[in-house]
Amino acid sequence: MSDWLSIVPLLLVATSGLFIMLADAFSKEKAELALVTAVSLGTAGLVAVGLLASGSALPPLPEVLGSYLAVDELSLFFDFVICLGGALSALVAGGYLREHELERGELYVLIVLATFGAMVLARSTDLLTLFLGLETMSLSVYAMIAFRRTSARAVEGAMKYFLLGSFAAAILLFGGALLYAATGHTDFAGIGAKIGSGEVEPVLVLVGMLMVLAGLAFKVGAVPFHMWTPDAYEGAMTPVTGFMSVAVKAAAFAVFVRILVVALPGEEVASMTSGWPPVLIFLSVLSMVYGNVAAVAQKSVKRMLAYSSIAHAGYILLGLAAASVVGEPAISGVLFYLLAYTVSNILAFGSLVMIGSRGKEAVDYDDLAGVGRRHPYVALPFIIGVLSLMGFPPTAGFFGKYYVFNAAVQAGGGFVWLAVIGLLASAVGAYYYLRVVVVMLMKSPAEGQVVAVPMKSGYVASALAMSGAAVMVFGLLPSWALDLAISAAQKLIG
Amino acid sequence: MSEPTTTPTPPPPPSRLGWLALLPLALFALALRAFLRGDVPLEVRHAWIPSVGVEAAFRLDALALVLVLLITGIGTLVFVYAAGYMAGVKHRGRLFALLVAFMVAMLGCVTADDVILLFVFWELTSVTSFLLVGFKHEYETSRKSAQQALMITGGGGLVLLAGVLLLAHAAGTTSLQAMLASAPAWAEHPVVRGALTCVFIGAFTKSAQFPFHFWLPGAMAAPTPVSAYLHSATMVKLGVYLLARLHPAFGDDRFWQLTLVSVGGFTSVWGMLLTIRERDLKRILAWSTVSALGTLVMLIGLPGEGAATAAAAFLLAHALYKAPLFFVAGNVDLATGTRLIDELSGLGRKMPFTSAAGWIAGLSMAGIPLSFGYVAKDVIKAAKADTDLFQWVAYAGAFVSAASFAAAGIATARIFWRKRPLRPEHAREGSIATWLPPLLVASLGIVFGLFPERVESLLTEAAQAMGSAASMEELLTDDSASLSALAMIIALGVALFLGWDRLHRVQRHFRLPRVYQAAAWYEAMMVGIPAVASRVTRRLQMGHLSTYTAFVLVFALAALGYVVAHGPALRVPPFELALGPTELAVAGATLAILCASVAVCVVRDSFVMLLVSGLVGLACALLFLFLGAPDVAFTQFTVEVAFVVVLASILLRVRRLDLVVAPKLPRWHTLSRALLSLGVGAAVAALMLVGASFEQDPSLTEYFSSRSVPDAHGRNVVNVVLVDFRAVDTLGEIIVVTLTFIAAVPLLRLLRERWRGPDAPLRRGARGMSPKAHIFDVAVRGLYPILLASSVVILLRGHNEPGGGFIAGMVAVAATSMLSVARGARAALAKMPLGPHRLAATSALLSLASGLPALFLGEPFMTHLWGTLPLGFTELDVSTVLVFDVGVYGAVWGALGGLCARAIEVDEPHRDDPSTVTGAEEVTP
Repeated sequence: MSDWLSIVPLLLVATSGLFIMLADAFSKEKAELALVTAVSLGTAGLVAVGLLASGSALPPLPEVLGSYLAVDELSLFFDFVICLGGALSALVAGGYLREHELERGELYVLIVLATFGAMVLARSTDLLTLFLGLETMSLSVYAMIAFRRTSARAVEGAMKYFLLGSFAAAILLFGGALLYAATGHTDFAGIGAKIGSGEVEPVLVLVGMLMVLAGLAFKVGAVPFHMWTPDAYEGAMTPVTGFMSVAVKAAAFAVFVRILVVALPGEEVASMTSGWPPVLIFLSVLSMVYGNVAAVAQKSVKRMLAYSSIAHAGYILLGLAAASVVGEPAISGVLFYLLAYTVSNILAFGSLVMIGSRGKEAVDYDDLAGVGRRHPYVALPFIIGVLSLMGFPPTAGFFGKYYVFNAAVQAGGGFVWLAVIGLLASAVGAYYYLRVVVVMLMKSPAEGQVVAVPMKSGYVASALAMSGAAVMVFGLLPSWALDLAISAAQKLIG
Repeated sequence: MSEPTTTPTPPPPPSRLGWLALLPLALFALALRAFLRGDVPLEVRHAWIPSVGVEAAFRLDALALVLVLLITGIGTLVFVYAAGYMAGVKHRGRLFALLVAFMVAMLGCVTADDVILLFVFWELTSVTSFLLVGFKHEYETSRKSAQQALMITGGGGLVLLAGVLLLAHAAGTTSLQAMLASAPAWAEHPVVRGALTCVFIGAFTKSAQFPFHFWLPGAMAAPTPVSAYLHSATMVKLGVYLLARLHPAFGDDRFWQLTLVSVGGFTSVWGMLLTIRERDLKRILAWSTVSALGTLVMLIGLPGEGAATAAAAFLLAHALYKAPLFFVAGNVDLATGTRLIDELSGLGRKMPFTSAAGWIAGLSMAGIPLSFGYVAKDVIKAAKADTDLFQWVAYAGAFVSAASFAAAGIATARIFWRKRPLRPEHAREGSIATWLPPLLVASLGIVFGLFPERVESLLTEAAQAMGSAASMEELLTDDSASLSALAMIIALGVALFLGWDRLHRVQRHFRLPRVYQAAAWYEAMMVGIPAVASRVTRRLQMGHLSTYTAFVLVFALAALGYVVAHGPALRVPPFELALGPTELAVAGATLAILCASVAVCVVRDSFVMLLVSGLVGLACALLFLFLGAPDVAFTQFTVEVAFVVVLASILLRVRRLDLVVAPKLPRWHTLSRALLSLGVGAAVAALMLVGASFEQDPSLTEYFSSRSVPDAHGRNVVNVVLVDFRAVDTLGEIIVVTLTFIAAVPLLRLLRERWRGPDAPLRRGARGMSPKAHIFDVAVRGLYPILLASSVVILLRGHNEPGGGFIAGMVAVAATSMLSVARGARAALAKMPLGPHRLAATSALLSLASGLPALFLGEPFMTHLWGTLPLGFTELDVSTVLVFDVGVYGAVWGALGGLCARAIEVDEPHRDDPSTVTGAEEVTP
């Protein structure tokens, strides 16, 4: 049985998914499913981080899975990040569904299955498992967006995401087929070895690579594959938006890291002249600039966060591109960034949920007017979350940004100026992030305007407490998490 | 009380929160003790983030000490003053908490010996100061200026981060000491210029240098203790501090000198010009602070030995006279309710202590001999005399001194002069907590003026920390030239003071055009950025799905073109075209796909479009059939048919609902889309050709074919692969299928709810029970069991012949669909064992469970077990594979059957509980 040790988190999530599905189908009482979901995902995440922190050698998987799923620290790190995001989202959803009288258990099933898909995706070492994980995750997420079925906006967002997502999946699949055609392998290591041997048709490899990267860029919402993001983020219920912005993104970036490091190393494909670094830089600069600029224009806080998530994808892509030069520091920077981003984002979206109640939801800036004065304890987590997203010290977000940009600066050459562009773009970001803070603390609601009234929910409150504590702890004492990320990155590069 | 007209209430007793002043007082004592005992520089280091070399390192040297003494010393008095000033104000506890937080951040910032740590505290001062400035957020101006201050200092901070990162990169360390020690080695690094530019922006925003100077007077909306603390004595000095800190490394750099001297010099003059324009006491002080900060920045940029000493001296002097003046202004505001100088005069009679403090501080500000302000100005003059390069700086300095003299006169003589009439009449002195602090600080300015040697060693050491060798003593000149210069400045100052009102009237006619106002630029940006952003967003984010798709495709094509044009040359291996019957069939199927695809683009009617796209799928199935994958073809056929049927039934309803309003697209639109599709199609085809022409690795096919019967007891390789070799994948897939169902149901329900409008019964009648339906009904009654039975047969034989759980499930789905068309979804779903949700869920679990027995026998998960069950007439292979396949069957049937039934149900009578539609879920437009 010890063979299975390294995928215990994955198995835990799979079993709890089936259990919750059955519980939902056969029981009348839905409410506590949120707790069950959060506890099982949380346990899986803790197991992952325990395995990671213990530093013990991981036994290889049985042959049947061995070539499809990775056994390494990187996967465990992502198991932790994804499960954390899933567990906290489930808690937030528990409060949200009850408050808005939408209680239907399938959301929890979907959260767990999406988490499962994301974990498989992050673990995949083969194009087949990659696709399987991707689709398991994506389909669950499409359904989650459309969950609020009477809302036209939700259905529109789900539909757009679904159609464009299928399209992107097709592109990715085609890219995978081309890589297979060029190398005769579907596993990343095989592809990498074959490319390294030089006996491949370079054009096929490049085109295949471009298509795979395009498919993944779609999932992380990088410009120009970002168009679904605002609609999907805004249409989805806020807890779902939170989940999407953390788990889906983390898993997609996990694949990015693995593909780039394992399947596409070496001069031929990782050089600045003809390889993935310029592609990532292109995506990154567009995302950083466009994400930040477009976020400024938004009236809806949710939509603003959607655009800002595009900008964040840009920062991470910059770190990934820098990995072609400096390797480990850039990858560990990306890992830490994703962890910090996960807790900050859940904090921001969770607070947005907390601030509103049935019929008095907080969506636009105006809804938030003066919340900070009326309900300071609800506003505080939101402010911390937003400041962390902005990269304000001493929050987790600041150090995430610091590591990623520091890695880019270390990479030297043109990367230094890219880092400067990124930092200046994020200074634009100060405009819209701080605007939220200003509105909450300073503005008074207009005459006769319906003001958001905070809901009361132990679930949401506990999720906020946990993620808020995490934001501050990862900010003040980042060493622990950073060392985990560094060891994961080192083991990956070998 | 002799005046019957006014019944002044006694000043409220100071708040007890004032005792918090003991905290900064203790710190002040500690710092002073450390200095007197010669413990400076003092270092504390802790590992913080060892993996990136960032330390929690603090270092207290003389430069930091000057700031620490200011922060804690003035802090003590600010706390006392705030206790009096804020007495009886709501939420004053919050103000004190913020003040403490701000003080901690300031102390951290000036003692940090690591640039990252410094940045962390730097930003903390921004955010706490924002909260402090916005404390009186009831007022619009208060909010606006708080926002302005935050935007500028916060945004500047992020730019500073870029500068700090670049500096650390160039120096190879984040430790300030190490950075400065090794400075000559890296000062020529190519990124240093960029780094300095970013650092300048950070420092200039914080210290209110041109063109970011305008936020400081705006921030005067803050309560007075905050203004005195943040905007005169401490926070705004941070930018100056940072520049002073880095001075040893860059002091000789031409870029450094020129930037600092020109920006600082201009700000000092400009600030004074703007001072003259003001009538509000606090704003007069604020602009003169901007000017003083400019002088400080300029001094740091000046080459020569004395400049650093001068900067240190002026830093101290300014804090010692400006803070009390702010206190005084606050007292006047509190006592009279106004800060406009036109409405104030002769207050000295009623407010003796405040007035005394004002006079003393004013002496220092005016630079009258025997005050510390005089000493500082003397040193500055000496520092400027050192340099021949920046002659004009001296002239500017003379004007600034004179204007500063005049401003001091306005802030004191004009409002406190006893001989003038008392205005307003109800003015009176406040509690001791409000007048003692200004009196103390201001007196200190005179003490140091009389005995400059008291602070000499401190300031000299601070200057040495900035890389200067000159001691303050050397710079103190007491010659006649300096006295004549003083006389000249005083004369000019008196002239300015007397002509203040006249100047004011004159300059009102010369309003600076908005183009030259930095504040106007800021406001234009605050309006402009969102405007530009929304224009950009509107153009790029129009909401059209097809546009998005086109966008993605264009990018894909562009990337492809780029690779082909710039990448390595393509080597296409030769391949032969063999013409056999298979090839012909494949060609025919391909042609069919091509034609159908073209037709999809051309056809306008959505229903026909659906049918044609169904043709594409069927032709694909044919392709699979001829390429030797009958099972895939079989699956494709069933899926395609079910897909078209379900979608058609939905489309029919949608049409009747007029939900879809197809936009009339212009001709070029269609044309460009067609061209794009053609391009993509051609590119894909070319890639396929190239890809297929390479030798494939046959090992996989051979492996599965050879292992199929011995390992998995099956001859149908596709099924064997699905349920045995790749069982885990299949397990994933059925979960996917289940998910699809869960995903689609809400969409269908929505459609149905739309259809069920207020006059739903009427419309429902349109469908009704026609005689035709009856016949269909009867036929289906017979067909349903037959179809189900055959599905079971397909299921059981699947392992050897074409068939298996998935296809069997699809057949069952077809049966359910038919039944729901004929007799309604409700009836069809009722016939499904367990109902769709539960069937799918249980079956998925069953599939999972089939893999478990292997675990108990020590085999890998999903290794199947085999046995044979004799049935008399035949033998049935019984295995966990069958269990697995049954699970697949059930999952497909439950999920897809439920989905199809729901789809067909769309316009049936709806008897669900009404709670599914709630007002809260409605989207607000």
